[in-house]
Amino acid sequence: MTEITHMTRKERTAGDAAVDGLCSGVLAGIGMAVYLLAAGLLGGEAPALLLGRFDPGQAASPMNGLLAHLAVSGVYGLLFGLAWRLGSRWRQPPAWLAGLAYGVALLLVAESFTLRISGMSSPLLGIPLVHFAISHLIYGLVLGVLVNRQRAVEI
Amino acid sequence: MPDPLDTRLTPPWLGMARAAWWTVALLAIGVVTAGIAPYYDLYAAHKLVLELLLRAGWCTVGLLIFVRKSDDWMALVVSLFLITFATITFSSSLVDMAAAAYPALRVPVQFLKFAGDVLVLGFFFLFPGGRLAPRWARWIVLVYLTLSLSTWFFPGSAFNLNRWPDELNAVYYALLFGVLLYTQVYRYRYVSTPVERYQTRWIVTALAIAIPSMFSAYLYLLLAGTFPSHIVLWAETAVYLFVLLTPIPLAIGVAIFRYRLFEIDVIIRRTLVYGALTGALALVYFGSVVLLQTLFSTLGRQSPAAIVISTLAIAALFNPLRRRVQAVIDRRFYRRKYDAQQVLARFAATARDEVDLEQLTEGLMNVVQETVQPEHVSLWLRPDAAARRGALSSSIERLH
Repeated sequence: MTEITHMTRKERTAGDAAVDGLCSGVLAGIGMAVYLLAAGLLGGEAPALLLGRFDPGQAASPMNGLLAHLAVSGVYGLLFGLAWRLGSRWRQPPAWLAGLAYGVALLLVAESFTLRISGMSSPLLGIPLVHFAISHLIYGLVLGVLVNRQRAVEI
Repeated sequence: MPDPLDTRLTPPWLGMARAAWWTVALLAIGVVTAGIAPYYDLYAAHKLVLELLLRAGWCTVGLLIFVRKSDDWMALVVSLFLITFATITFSSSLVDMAAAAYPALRVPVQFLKFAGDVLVLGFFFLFPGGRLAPRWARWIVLVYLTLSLSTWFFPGSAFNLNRWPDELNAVYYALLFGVLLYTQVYRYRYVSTPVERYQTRWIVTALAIAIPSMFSAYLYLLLAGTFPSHIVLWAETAVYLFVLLTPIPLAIGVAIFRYRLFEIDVIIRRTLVYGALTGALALVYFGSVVLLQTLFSTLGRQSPAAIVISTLAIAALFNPLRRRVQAVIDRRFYRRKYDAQQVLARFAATARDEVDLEQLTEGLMNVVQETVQPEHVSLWLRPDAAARRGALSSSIERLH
């Protein structure tokens, strides 16, 4: 008997990887926000006040803050998705570990760089460092797991 | 005995309903016109023109519905909803200024605001069939009317929504929105006739365009704090007012007059895809602008490169994101569209013309992949009889 077998493996482009990263980033951002809200509630900070810290404008609006947080999370996730695809040519660490490292890197960049623009301190610096760090770890972990899962589903 | 499904009016109700329609409509348009002069001092002329055009568009559809179907009470409710929503409910800035400039208009303005609230609820609870279902929805209507009445006519009352804390107001409106959504779905599934379902689909289509677009515009306006420029003002006026809300009156007009003439399911499918795509791209654009702007600020300068890079990024993302959104929507909502018979018929037509086995195999694989979307596909082909006979005779010869 002659057998012809075709595996329907789709070509996965950089755009697909970016979209995976974007979706995963938004979901990871939701996880991060849930942790921060829970930690805030336990610490006596109202959810609206906490979300208002993310507002890039001066209004400290919770809705603006939530949208800005999700948007930035999505873009960071997009960058991770692209980087993860780029790294697939070489031997890669487990995705969750890479995600954790990415979360730590984002935390360091935020703490030492982006949140301290030209002497002005961002309202986000008011969040206790422990919670801020844990939330970034959660973000990275969820992002890593989801990006890897999306890729597995695609293949 | 009157047919409960028939919404047409007969005398004397017909004359009274038409008179009430003219009263409210003329009052609404008149008060808005009176508010134009004070308003002009505050905003640029182009914004005024655009806003008036938008309001005129809604009112025109309302007027058309009245002219064509004024003997139908549901059509009267819809047309008055369009007029009061465009003139008062969506933005009461003009009527407020009219009331401030002419104190005699205060009471009519309050009445119009109340009427606008009632008609919004009336439209979403009754459209398209004019029946209130499920039955418990009447209690929601009662609560809504009580609160609305208190808000506009008894400002000192504890039921005045303007006196409630923002959080409580948010909860109230979220609950109301949820109930409206639920009742629409309930009526669509259990109460509506096939024609009414078509009409509902048109409204759903318009909302599916308007809501993601407004979300995008909201994100865009958020950038106003970051980029104070005339571009933002342009976006606020032209995009927000014109493009985003115009589909709603158009869809209402089509739903009432010409709902059978278009393939609405195709329109809904594309609207869902491009609506979700617009929202997602807006989110990416907003996020990347905020990030890049922060980055450039850290470097000590403001740069238009943030906008340029963000624009290029969303341009690059457009196709992959569209494919993904389309795949998700097709998988969730349009699985049944894959009609096996049609696919087989198309493949049969191809098979008649195709002689190359490799091409035919490829075609079959594509058909299975498109319709069933399996993890993988395997195809086994039996060798033909001549080849089998040849192989057998050569084996026999070798035996001899």
